Amino acid sequence: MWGEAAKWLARFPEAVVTAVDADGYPVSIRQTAPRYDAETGQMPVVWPPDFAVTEGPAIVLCHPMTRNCGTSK
Amino acid sequence: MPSAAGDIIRNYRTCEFTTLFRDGSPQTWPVGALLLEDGRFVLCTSIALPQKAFNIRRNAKVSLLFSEPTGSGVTEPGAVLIQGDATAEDRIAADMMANPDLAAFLETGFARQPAGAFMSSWLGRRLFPFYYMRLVIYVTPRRAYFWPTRDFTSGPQELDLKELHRVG
Repeated sequence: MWGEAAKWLARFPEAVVTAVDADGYPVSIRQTAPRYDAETGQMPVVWPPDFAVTEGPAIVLCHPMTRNCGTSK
Repeated sequence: MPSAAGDIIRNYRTCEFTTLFRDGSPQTWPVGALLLEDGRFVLCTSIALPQKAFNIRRNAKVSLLFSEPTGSGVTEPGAVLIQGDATAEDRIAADMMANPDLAAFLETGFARQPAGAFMSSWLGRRLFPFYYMRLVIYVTPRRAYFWPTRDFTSGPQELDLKELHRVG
């Protein structure tokens, strides 16, 4: 499953990565050139400095946009 | 609030909306959201996709990331992150035009996506009645952050929430 996820992720130039901060609110950033390493099971993410999140579950979302109508697919 | 941040909130077609699942893990969807004059955001979800509402009723903490400039016309695209508390109404909005906030949301959506206007036509309403059966979600911002560019390796600027009232 994760090998398949890595293939799909490689098709997108950007991904939105979301984790949770110390106050319990979600925090999302965009990650350019996301790459999931199926061997290590890790996807390195460069997080903004002084913008901490807690250790725990996170989510990665990729969604292309069409320029003409602006819809997500 | 920098005018660039206001441009982003007003003009980006979608944002990434995150709620928290029962186990605390974040769940993110691309959605349309409209900033109201009172500083809250309104969005909605189809009754066929109620997970956002279920999550919000358990845990009100959510976020909205405006970070995708495609089709927006914004010439110097940056990003805005809103963290806030959400409410999801129990009742189903069967007539979106009857709710002024939803009507404004719908009008903005059709202006941004003219092809979607079919859904509000007589035929569209007959063929896809469920499209107009929506759960309304309001988000009251608690914190807001601004990246002047889409370089997320740099730290964001914190925005004054009072300024959101001037953007809506």
